Amino acid sequence: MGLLRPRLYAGFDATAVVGATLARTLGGRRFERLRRVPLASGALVPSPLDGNVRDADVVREALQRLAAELGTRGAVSLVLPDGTARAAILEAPGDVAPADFARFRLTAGLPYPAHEALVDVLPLGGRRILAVAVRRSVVESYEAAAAAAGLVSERVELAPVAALEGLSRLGPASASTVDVILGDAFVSIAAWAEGELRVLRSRRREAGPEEAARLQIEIARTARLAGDGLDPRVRVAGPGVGTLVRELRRLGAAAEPAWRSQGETHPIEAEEIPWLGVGL
Amino acid sequence: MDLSSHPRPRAGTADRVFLATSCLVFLAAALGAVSARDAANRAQAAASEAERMAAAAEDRIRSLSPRGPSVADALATRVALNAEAPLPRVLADLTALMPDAVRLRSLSVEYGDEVTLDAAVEARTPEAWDAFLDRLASSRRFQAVTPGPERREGEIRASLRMVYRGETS
Repeated sequence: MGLLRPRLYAGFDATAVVGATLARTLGGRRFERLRRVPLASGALVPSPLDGNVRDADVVREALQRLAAELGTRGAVSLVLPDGTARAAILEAPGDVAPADFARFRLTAGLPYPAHEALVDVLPLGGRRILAVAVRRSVVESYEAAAAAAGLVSERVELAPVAALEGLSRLGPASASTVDVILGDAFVSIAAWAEGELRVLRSRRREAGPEEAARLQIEIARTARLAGDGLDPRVRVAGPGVGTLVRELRRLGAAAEPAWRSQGETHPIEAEEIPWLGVGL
Repeated sequence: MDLSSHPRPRAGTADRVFLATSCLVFLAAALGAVSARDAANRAQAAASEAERMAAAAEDRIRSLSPRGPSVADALATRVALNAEAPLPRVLADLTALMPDAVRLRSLSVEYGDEVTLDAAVEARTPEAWDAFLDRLASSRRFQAVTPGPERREGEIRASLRMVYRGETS
């Protein structure tokens, strides 16, 4: 039984725009329809500094096609790709609002003026927060693309954070767990220890035959920083997940897709979309 | 999380129903409070007497219990930490772990219950940055190493937060 109208999500990345409708029912939340519309190379370039939409017409047409195929219009939650924001795990003092502390700590190291930063936080339990900063002009480039396609942006999320929100609800797979959240251009690596998120790192993705070996080193390094580097369980989500999981297993890692579709066939595999974690 | 350029509060139908219900409940509670005020006044006298007796009992218990850490104890801890981990030693230990292509841009040291460092670091190559992180993770002198945001355009600029354990750990 549906309680509310389905929420439309539109996720951007360098190679495609992906849309999904999230239904909220008494039984929980679930994504019902998924569609992927490819983008021409160079039409969208994830970056923390400049407007990311380089070919507005191409992105607008992709969004319009997406909305038509999903059969929905109006309000949409936009999901920004990895590589557009700066994130850090912080512990806020008890006498300061977490958002204010996040702004104070994050903006000092940003490569653009502090007043241009949009900052929000995800509570991690206790006084710990995941703080995220993104440049206003970057967000506005995505909001403008949505508006041009006739969609009303009701909120803006970040793909790796959306993935982590869902994965935190699932709980760590074991005492030492590392999540690899793939984007087209960037990859985020998050390490959990004793049930809490300890480390989150993001770096440019170098896809290719050596990617699995390079990421295996990064996984081990991130797990060690979290306090336990011994054979962590590895959960992977995002484009290329199938190949990467296969290669990591071949190299001896305990890797698995972060989630899978259940009982339905979609034109795109659920584990290929990193931000589907919001539906978990 | 909402990173919209113009975030707006969302008040849907369910929110409005919830707000209206809350107002009704508040009104009912206020009326109940007024009628209960007289009874409360009568009970207050009895409660005051009970509080006085409870406070006397607490004083007695406190006088028999071992004392918790005082401000003086905390200050003594900080002074001891400062003596065990003076800034030059912390700085020397940290820079000793840095590869040639890594340099320290700034460092703040907080002497609290433990010695906490906030460092801003610059690395000429990703390999040097990764090597520095590996050395920190292997070091027994630096623990709870938490990398902050990494900026990877050209030279890497990043921040780190960690706890200094010195030679004893």
